Formats: sequence, C-alpha cells, structure tokens
Amino acid sequence: MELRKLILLFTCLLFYISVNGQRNTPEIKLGLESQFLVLGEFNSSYNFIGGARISYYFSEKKFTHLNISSGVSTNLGPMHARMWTTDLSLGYDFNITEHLYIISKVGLQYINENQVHFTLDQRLDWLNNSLGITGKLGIGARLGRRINTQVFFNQFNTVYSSIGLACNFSF
Amino acid sequence: MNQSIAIIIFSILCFCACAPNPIELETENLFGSLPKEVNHPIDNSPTMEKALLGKKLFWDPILSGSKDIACVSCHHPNDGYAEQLDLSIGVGGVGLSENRMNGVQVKRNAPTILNTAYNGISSEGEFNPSEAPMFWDNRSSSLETQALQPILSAEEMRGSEISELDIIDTILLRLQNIPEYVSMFHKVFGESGISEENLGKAIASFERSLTANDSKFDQYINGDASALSSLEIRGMINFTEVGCANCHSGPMFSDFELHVLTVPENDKLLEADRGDGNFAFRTPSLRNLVQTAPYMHNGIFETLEEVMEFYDDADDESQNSNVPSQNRDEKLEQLNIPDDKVASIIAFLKALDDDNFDKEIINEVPSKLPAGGAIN
Repeated sequence: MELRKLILLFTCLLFYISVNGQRNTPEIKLGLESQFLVLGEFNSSYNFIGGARISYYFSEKKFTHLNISSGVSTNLGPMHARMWTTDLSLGYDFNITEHLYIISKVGLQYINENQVHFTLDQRLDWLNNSLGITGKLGIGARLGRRINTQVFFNQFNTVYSSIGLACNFSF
Repeated sequence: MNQSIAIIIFSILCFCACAPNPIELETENLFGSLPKEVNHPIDNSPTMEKALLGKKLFWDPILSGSKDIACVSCHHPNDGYAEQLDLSIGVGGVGLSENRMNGVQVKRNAPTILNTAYNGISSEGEFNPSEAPMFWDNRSSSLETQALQPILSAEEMRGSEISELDIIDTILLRLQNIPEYVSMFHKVFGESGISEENLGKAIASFERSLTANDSKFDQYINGDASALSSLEIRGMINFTEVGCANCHSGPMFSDFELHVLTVPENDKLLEADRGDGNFAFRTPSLRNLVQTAPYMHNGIFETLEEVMEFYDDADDESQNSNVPSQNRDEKLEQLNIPDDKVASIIAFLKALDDDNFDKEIINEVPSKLPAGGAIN
C-alpha cells in the first residue's frame, strides 16, 4: 500500500515537471557511472557496480535545473553473484558556481539478483527482487561545454549505501 | 586540460568495468545438510531402553570419584549440551555453567555433545561411528570410547582419591549395588549386564540420540527456499568465498582434522595447552554455535565477532607466543575476511542452529544422589 502511494506521488511529480518543462530548451545527457558499496546488506555480496545513465534536463532556472534520469547498472565481480539494477529518478541540480553544482535525486529503483551456490549434492540458484526508494546527493563539476563529472552518495532503502563517480556527455 | 581529465575518468571507469573477477567460487570444499538418520556401530545397536539407561548414567554423579559431578554437569541441555564457561570446572565444582565455581580447573572448553553422532562425517556424507574422532585433539575414536575418558580423568570426574586403574572397577561395583541399574543393564545387555564395555555403550547410545539436524540451513538445502533470509544466503556464499569452508566443510561444517591456528592461550591456565603435542586442535563443528559460546578449545572468545576478528588477524602472524608464525596451518593464509562480510557470515552461522533437541531435565537418578551432581 505504501509503495503504491509513493509511485502515485512520483507520477504526479513527473507530470507537474513535464508540464513545467515545456518552457525551456531540453538537454539530454548520457554517461557512465560507477559505485562502490560501502554499507548495508547488499555490500556483503557486491563491492562495485557500474553502468550507464541517461538524463533529460529541462526547466532551467538561474540556480536550479530539473531533470529526470534512468540508469542501468550491474555488479562487477564474481559471476556467481549477479545483480542488475535500474532506476527512474527525479533530479534537482543547484548551481554553486559557474563550474560546480550540487546534485540531488530521488526515485524508484528495482534490483534483480541471481546468486549461485553449490552444496554437496546440488546447485542452488537464489533469485531476489527488490523494489524501493533510492536517493542521491553529490557534487558535479562542468569540465567543458559538453562534459561534466559527478561524485555522489547513494542510498537504496536501508540495504545499501554507496559512493559513486559519474561522467556525462551532453547532447 | 578539461578534456584530459575527462579522458582519464573515462579510462578509470572502463578499466573498472573490464576488471577480472577478483574471486572465483571454491567448489572443492562444500557443505550440505545432515542425514536424518545416524549410523550405529555394529556391536551397539540402538534401543530406546539403552538410550534411557545412558541418559540416567549421563545425569548420575555416581560415575565420579567423589560422587559430585556427572557428565551433564559440563554438558547441560540448557546450554546446548555444552556450557557457558571458557574452561570447564571438574571435580569439586559447584554450580552450573557460568555460575559454576571452585573445583578443579579443566584445561579445555566443554564442546557440545549435540550431533557428535555424526563426528567424522565426510564431504560425501559417509561416516563410521566406530572410528569417529572425539575430543579437541582427536585422541579417542567412537562415542563408546569417549564416554569413559572423563571418568578416568583426575581433573574432570575421577578426582585424586581413586587411582586411574581402580576408578572403573569402583564405579562398576557402585552400579552393581543399585538394583535399578542392575535391572536396566540386564534388560538392555542381557547376561553381560554391568561391565565397562556396556557402560560406554549405554552412554554412547544416549549421546548418539542427541541430534539437532533440522536447522534453517538444513531446511533450505532440503527445498524450503524461504527458510533462509537474504542476509543468511549472502553469508552462506561469503562463508565459502572468504575461506571458512577450507576447513569447515561437509555436513558438520568440520573436516575433523587437526590444525595449528595459534589461538591465544587462556590466562587461567598455568601451562600452555599443546593440543596434540604440536598445538594443533580439531576443527570443531559449527552447528548450534548460538547455544555453545564461548568459542575455541579454551573458550577464549566470547562472541562470534571475536572469532572472526581472530581469523582475520591470524592470516598475518601467530596470535600465540608459543607457536612460531611458520608453524601456522597454511590454510590460515588463504583466509581473507573483509569487514563488510562479517555480519552476513555470522547470520549464516546462526542459521545452523537447531533448537529442537532433547532438553529434558532429570530430577532423580537411580543412585538417589542429586541428579547432575552439585549443579543446583
């Protein structure tokens, strides 16, 4: 029930932003991001995840820039413990200087895990799916007209915390 | 300049993405569920009456030199047939578990008797009860042999007033003077009645009935996918990856081999415990750990967290000043326990616990001595 409410709230926000965003020239950013898991239950299975993210920026103001983004990532490491994750997030960037800005995102994240373990007489596959809230807070730096980089802290539910690095290219 | 930085960052990302797998799954040292049935020696077939006789003997202090200590004094069902003491207190001891005091200091921690019926079980699930390794130093084979050893020990049950040569005969004579025992021995063993061999067989038969083989882990392995939590599942895989399963393998999570671990000495002991003579001790089973703290052969660690910390440090250097680092078991060097995996491994270890075993407290024994000895 709570999750359904959250999804409804998130949909309303996206609708509001999409209407609001018609006033500005949109911008698309495509990038790579990697995360080191530092805390939480997931951290006991995965140390490092990497993937790609596409962001749609709109409604740019003097100090703020709204965006929605979606990312896909997987863990890098042992093949018997595989995690795939995707998220849909609403972001808000706050300009600090000409080159620096604060990033903040909140959204929904879905994680699929498949771990394999062997016992004396059988192979067991463990599947686990998680859907929850993800939040991100960090600092971005514009390195050029089209390239920017970000360092951030990411939290998914209460099961993992990570620190990450991303690099985006603007179209 | 900015483009150079961007290229460097992209390169790092690409390198990380292409990094080889840091850990490969070990498939040599595996574990599994316990069999539901235990094996019995050919010459000690199980019967209800024999196990009941063994149970009464297990609780009866008549088996000790000074009639004040029974097997159960240090292996109590309330503590998973172990005790919450680092080092056991034998002859002359008063009280139970962590409240036990006075008496003679025994040099080792009392291991649980639960599941000792499976001692020696191989990774293939095969075990021979007549050759099952017993004690921290594997000095006895079979429960039948083991059952008599504490009676012979001056520190544990015999005391100093009766010699090692005389103690068994003394006890057999005592038993022959108790009609209930005479009757039970004859009913169970026929004409041979009360004898040293039958005494061992009866106690062993009871010990062999003390199984706890339906832990959450066993249920999971046997098909109940919901038996283990996600954290416990992660711990199960990490347990193998970090190297614990190099020794803690098979259904009992023990290879039943002797290893030099360099566990720190317990300060209560005046002399170092040399184990098998070379500071080697047997890999203990990891089942029912929750109820059998403290841990290691001398109970030096109170918590599983301390045990994990020890293993993480022991791969670097000896933790016991009596044992040179080069004498450490080479498997210790293969251990690598990252801090972020400790919680999941401990969660998994706790899932090996099965609380469903015989916890009956006996209040009266045939000798009419206080059941369990001076434990109340």
